[in-house]
Amino acid sequence: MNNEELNMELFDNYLLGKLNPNEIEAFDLKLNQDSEFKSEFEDYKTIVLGIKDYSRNDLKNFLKEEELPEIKMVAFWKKPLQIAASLILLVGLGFIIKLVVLPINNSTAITNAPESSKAKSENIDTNAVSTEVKFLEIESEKKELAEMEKPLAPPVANVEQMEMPKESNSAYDNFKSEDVKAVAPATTYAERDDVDFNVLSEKKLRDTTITTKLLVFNYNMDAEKDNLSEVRITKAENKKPGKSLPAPANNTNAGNVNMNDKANAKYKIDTAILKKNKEHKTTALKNYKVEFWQSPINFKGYKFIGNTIQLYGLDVKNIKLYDVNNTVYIKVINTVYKLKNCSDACVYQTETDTEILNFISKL
Amino acid sequence: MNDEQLVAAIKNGSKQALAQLYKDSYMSIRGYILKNSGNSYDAEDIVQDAVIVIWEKIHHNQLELKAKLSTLVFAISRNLWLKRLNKLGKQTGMDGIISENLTVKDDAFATENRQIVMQMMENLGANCKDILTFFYFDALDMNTIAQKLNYNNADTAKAKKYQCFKQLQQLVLNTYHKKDLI
Repeated sequence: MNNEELNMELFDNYLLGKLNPNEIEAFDLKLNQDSEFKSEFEDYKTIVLGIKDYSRNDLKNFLKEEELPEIKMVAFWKKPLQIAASLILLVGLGFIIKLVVLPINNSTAITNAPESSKAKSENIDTNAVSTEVKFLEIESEKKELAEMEKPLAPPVANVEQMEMPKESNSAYDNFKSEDVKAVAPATTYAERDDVDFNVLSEKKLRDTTITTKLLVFNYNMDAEKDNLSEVRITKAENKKPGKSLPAPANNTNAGNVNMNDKANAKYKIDTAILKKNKEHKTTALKNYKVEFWQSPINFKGYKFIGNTIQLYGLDVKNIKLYDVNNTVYIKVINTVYKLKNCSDACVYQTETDTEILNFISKL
Repeated sequence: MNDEQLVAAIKNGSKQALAQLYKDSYMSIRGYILKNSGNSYDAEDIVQDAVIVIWEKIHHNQLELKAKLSTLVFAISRNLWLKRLNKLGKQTGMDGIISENLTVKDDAFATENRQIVMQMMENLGANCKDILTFFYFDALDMNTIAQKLNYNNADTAKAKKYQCFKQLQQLVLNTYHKKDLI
């Protein structure tokens, strides 16, 4: 091993921290006294740093190739509504068949229509049945129809009726074709379309950004010693106080919907650090965007992607958000829910771990 | 994979494990950076740098898993981003303007030299690149390197590493000389 090799080994050991304190002292001393040794070391260091830069860059290029998860905030309640829409379409189809096809076939004896359609096709028959039952509903509850529950409710009723065709048949028998005409199907249908388009939009009631400290809760530690910090959100201002807790029925028309979209409550964030612990530092501050949403079907649940939390059906004025051991908890009145990362519909889950609950209640 | 498994895999040199950490961390950090005058490209860049810091810390045994890995990545990303904002003078207008030109000169020479070394690394053979990366960046010991690169023993690996280092040094020196002549 020549002198150069020996020196390089020494440099390596120095840079990789493999020397003991005495050796380090000797090395530093030599650096200060021997200028040639020093310049040799500087050259060596530049090359090592360059190698590290290269490796870092190499690794970075590898990471750049990775495909990142898509940011999807697709409304998850759309699926049931799609089913509802297709059911309505199916029902409408049955109705058209009833109105157009059957009169042609049985133009002389309208009252015989039920039997003949039954004979023709079981499918068409059941569709027709549910159509008529539904239009009866429409007739009787025309005004409430525009309410938010309605788009989903009829299809559910249809499914039940389709499962029990015999019961429905008796209703069908009492129901004459003339009555169907009296309902004026064309206009009713158009009305339903309107209702669908206006109501089936997700409403964001308001949003707020909440900063939490990332808390570390050590189970073994005395609770009093824990590093406690808190973010308290108090409602400071609400542009439209009347809209903060909208019942579904209040939002039936398009005008109201738009107003609610923009009615974002402003929050004053009041941070109060109660105690600080020297051993456990809070690692970082974290911002969460909390959005309060309402879905047309009154879904209760949440989505949690990245830093955005969308709360559905939970519009409460005072909520508290905690980040304990990297898990996010939300406290609504006296209930603590645990929020997981969740890109699709997740139901609220109450936290049962008493230690966590105690920890949060002390904050 | 839980944190321990992820750390073990990264320690073992699994780039896929690092990519996993990168992908897992991206979303939350993206939110943070978007809220702090950055865009999603900044976010990608910062998270990449942050997980590379994690890689280096793991390989140099400087990582203690006291907090969750995701918390660590977030904290590192946040620091990196604040540093960058400071550099750009974005964060606190007045402050940024003053501090902007101070540190540049000192670093410029060293940075340029390091860049030459980086370029010259490209000219080395694959084995040399690997062995230098394993030794300096991943801080692997010679036995492990010998195993990874199918050398007979640690001594062979050590000799090879020395040879590669000298080769790189020579390439860098040649570049210097060329530059001096111009």
